[in-house]
Amino acid sequence: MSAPTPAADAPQPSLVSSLTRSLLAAVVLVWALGTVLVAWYVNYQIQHNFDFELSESAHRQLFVAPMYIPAAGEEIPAVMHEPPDTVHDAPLLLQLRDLQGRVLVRTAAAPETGWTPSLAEGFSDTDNYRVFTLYDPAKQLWLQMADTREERREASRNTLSGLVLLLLLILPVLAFIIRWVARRQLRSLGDIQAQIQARNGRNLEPLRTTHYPLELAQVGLGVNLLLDRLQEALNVERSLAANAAHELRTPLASVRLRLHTAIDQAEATAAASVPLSEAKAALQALETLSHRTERLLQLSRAEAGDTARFAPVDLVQLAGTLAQEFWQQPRALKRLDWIAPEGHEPVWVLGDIDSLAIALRNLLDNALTHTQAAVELSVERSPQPALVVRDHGPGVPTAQLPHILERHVRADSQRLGYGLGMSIVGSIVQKHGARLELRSPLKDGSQGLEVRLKFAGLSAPTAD
Amino acid sequence: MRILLVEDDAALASAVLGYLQGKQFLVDLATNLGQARSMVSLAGYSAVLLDLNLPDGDGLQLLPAIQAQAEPASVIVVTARDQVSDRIRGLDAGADDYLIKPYDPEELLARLRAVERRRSQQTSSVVVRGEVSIDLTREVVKAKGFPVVMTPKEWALLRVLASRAQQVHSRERLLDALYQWDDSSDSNTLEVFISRLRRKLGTSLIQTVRGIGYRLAPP
Repeated sequence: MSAPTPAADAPQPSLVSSLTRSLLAAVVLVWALGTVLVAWYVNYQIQHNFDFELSESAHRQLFVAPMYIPAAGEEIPAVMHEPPDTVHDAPLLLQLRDLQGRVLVRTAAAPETGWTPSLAEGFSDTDNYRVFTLYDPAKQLWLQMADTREERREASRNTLSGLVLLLLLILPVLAFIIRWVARRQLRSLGDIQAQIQARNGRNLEPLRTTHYPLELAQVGLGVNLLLDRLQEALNVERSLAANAAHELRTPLASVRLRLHTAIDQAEATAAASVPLSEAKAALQALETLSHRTERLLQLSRAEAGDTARFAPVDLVQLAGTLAQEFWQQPRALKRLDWIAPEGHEPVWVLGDIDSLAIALRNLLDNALTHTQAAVELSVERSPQPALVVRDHGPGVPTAQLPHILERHVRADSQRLGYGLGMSIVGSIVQKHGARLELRSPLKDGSQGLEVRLKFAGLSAPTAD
Repeated sequence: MRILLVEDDAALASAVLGYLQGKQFLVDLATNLGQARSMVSLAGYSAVLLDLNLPDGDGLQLLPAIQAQAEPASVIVVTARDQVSDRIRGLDAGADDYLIKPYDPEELLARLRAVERRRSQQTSSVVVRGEVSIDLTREVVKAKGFPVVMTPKEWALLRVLASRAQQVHSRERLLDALYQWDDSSDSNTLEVFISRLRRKLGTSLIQTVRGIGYRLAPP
């Protein structure tokens, strides 16, 4: 028994790597989305802080800057000197303007002309600057302070690149952790696979499933049930094979022996013909062989019957045909009775007519073989289609009824086929999704056995 | 009586050939469909023993060629026991009878004798009453066009009633017909079987003649 291997040209993806890949992709996506939101919020806060700082220092400078206003006749604008600052490398940008908008005082870094053509209190934006304007009504002066926009952009850029860098550093670590966790969790999968692989025709022990997580334990349990059934089937098959060889060879050996004896006797006595008794015995052995071969063929057919061949089957036609087949046997001619349902319309069910015939033939054969009484074959139309075989023999003890369908090879009788017939019926019934009901004694008596095969109805034939 | 045996298995063919020739039948052998087709049109056969699994096709394909003859041969289809579907297919296609492989030579002989008997009765005797037709020669009963399978006892009774369809049959005579199937038949049994025939073929088919017996309803 070799394990199926994936085709070489189409490698199967590993569960660990596909799990790692999809988890990592999801994490990166969520992380990226989070980063965009954080970046937006951080940028908003940065701008807010810059604005706050700008307005703060504007208010402070309002006391300082007017001191630099040049006297009348001096050149405007005067340049205001800012105190040396070792902490901030950005120079102070300030303009003090009169009501006409002329720049009276400016810092060295500020332009000579006004930032904004018109003057209004609050924040305003130009191409390169963010400007805050303040009005002093007492001195009738406008004070403007500005940040370069480039400065603010740089602050945002630095913060964002820090965030992204952090993400890029963490991702490999995260990938490693996810992969490690996935591997660890899926290790039991490899373990159960190894256990299954170790099973074969000689080793069908149940898998150990106690230490697995719930889902895998359930898989293991399912496999164990399958192994159970397999073991049972193998046992029957083995004893069948062993018995079949014996059961088929015995009558063969008998035929050969009989014919040899007959020829020897004919030659010894120089007679032109073989003795009748030997020929009859050989024939008898051949009939036994035929019967046993038949059972083996039935068994293989019942096991192999596949639902793909299912077609509408008329139970009336099936039962009638089989009744006619049995009436050809002298033992059935007087004892077998065929009771058709009311009306002449067919009773349709879905199935394989040949398998159903095997099942019905086995039921009739059992009834005729195991009893000496009358046997009735009937078809019921309602409440659901059914084939019924009823015999008026001694019946079956109630305790034994449930065991009738169990497959077993009778070791005590050493007779192949005995005990198989009903199991063949059982597997055919199962393949047809039908129900088998046994009743003994009969409803209206103290003895007899009734076997009823109940089918799902088929309203109209779909056959063409 | 001349018989065509269509069989591709050489061992079985020679056994059947030997057996039937021993019983004074004239038998020809065809081992495939093509051969059988040309032989059917050349000689007038009374019966064809037809195996269905032939090397060049399904044996049933031969039926049209047989039925095209002026006096078509009776066809006995030979099928494996577990192939009920083949058997039904054969009968539906117009075969007259079937044999189940492996068959007893006596059974084969009985079928051929039946063919012989049917062919010797020149006129076909079919009794028709309403939707029921009773073919006494071929032993086929149909109701509303559907073939009805009769048990041997039912058939024994119906045959008596239908073979002299105008006549009233006494209870004793009808019981005699049943007696060959069941030694314990009493008058109750007769009622049971009459009612079963009525159930299968319609209540009006058989009339009770008070104090005397039964008869088939007049046409």
